[in-house]
Amino acid sequence: MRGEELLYKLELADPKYVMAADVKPEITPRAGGWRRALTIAAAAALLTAVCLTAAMAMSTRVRQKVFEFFTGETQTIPDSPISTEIDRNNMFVEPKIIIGEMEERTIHLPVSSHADEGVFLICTDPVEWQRGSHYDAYREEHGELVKLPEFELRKTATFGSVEYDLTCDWAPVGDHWVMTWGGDIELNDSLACQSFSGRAERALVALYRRSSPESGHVYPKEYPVIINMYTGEITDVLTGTGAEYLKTICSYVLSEDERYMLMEAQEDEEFGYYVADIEKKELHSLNELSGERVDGCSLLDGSIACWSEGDGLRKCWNLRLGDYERTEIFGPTRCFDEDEPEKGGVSWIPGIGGIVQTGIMYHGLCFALDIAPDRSAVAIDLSNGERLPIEGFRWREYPNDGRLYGIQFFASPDGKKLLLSGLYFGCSYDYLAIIDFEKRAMVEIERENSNDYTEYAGWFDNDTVVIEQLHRVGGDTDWKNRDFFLYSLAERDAADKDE
Amino acid sequence: MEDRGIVELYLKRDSRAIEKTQEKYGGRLRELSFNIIFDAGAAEECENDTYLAAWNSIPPHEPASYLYAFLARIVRRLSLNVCRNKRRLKRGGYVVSLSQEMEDCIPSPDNAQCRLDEEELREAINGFLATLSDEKRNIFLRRYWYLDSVTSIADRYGIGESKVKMTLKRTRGKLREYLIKEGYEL
Repeated sequence: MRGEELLYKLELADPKYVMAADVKPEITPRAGGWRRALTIAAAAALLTAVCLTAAMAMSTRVRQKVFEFFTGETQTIPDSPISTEIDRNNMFVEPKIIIGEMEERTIHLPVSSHADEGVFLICTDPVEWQRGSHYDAYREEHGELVKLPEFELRKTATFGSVEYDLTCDWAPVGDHWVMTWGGDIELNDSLACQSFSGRAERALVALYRRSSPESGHVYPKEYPVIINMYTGEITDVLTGTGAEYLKTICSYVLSEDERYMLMEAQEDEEFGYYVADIEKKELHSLNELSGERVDGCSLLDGSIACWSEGDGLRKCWNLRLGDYERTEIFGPTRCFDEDEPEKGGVSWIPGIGGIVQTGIMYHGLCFALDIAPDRSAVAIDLSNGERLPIEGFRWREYPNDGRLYGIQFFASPDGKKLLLSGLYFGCSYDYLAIIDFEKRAMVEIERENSNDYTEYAGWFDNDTVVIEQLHRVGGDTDWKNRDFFLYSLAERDAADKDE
Repeated sequence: MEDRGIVELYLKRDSRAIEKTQEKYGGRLRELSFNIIFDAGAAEECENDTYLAAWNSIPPHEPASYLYAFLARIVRRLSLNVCRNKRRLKRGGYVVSLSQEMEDCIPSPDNAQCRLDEEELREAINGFLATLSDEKRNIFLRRYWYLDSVTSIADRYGIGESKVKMTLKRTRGKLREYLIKEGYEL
């Protein structure tokens, strides 16, 4: 059986469970007062943390028992899928190779690894990995994996009327930082933050703000603030703008000068897009500024690109930050339909909140792709409407062999590149193409369509795509190792210069 | 009208059954379908096909105590079929990625047909769901039954997206362990 079949067959779930999951929950403040609950949780978390820290120094067996005692659940350490011994000989970087216009680097790591935000996070302790706790951060430098220095943030900070335990391990990576441990979110009710990048001294971080009777908020929410990761000092940039009264803020991005924050948020029942002017302490709905519904948006340099969709048409306009003067970028244009590529049209634009990029501040795509009936394309610059031909672009036709096939769009965190990836369900990616809008070029990589791998694509940093690959051996997933393939155009440019 | 009354209309082959079903559940069914397909027109088609399928399957079924779940199951299947057949960009990719997440749950994923018959598979799925707490079960079903996004699950239950992702990851691992422990061979 494959995952797709199991997804279908979940329809066999007992109707009573299905109906229970459809009941909208009523979330109410905890009985006995949230402050008391928070205090008790914090005390319990502290006690647990002390004991778990002590347990870390013990043998695996003793650790397991300590975990069982404090968590009330059996902590099993299976031989598979997680190897109890991390084979460090299996952590290595293969020499980079050039495939066409792209550079490929392959990094072999233990299965307990992630590639994100320009680093590899590797957990070499199976118990810690089971708990989802600490990772070591490594960077690939000249074909070697180099461990990065790490810092701890352990601080209690009062924000509003709520006291937070700021608990986080992190590592500086170039001009930003990456979280290597943010606490166990299932054990610790007072977990405070989730990384959303930026410089370590001015990091955009989401606090999990719990519900409180005084605030009138029923739902806890992620509340973006700026934290100095070295000192734990919190700068609340949103209070006073009105954003503090939004029910839920689910996506957010900060302009480089830290004056504007673009957000996807819920005010009443509807979700919408808002911009907070941090200096003037104002909050604006993009719907109101535009005079019409906004279905998506990107934060550009000095402006916001907005678009709407309806009746198979897509149109786009731009709002200048500050005075919010509106400029049309393109009028109602046919939405590109992958089932009818011969009709052409403007393809889907991933705006803020449009992709899942843990930890990376995502601005939304800065360009739209206008695909012609002959499958060539021009990029439309969403800041000024300029149309730029994309050299080498050919829209890939879907294979017509009856198998489930998907093409996915992933915008780079800075919104200036787009990854198109195609795969048959359950196979490796057989198609990758990176569009570099600023260079007006597209480069394709034809890859092997194999049943031997399970793969996941994403952006490693603004210039590099990462494909995470798990092997299958005899139809079963090999859980010992994980390979990461990095593809970039930027390194190729550097190589050209060297030549 | 109560579900029992609507089902009785179906059993009597009274065409008002469809009208009453649409009145009571039309919006929710369309919403569920739209959530999977992301196409209003196709979602409406799926909703209409659901009424037809219900008309053809009641009787012999008599889902008086679980009419919505019965209809939702039909619209879910129809909507997944649309995604599969039309290979729409965004949702095609979404269903592929959800399917890949489900792969984590399967002890030995391969191309062979499922070795369990439907009844055994039902037993395996529900046996596992019974082992979960209400919260974890609801999160799991919202993701893989209703095909909700992580963001919308987080909003629904007032928890962080990270918690949703972690819960899903662990629940998938638990399902895999459960299937191995109970000797189910998928």
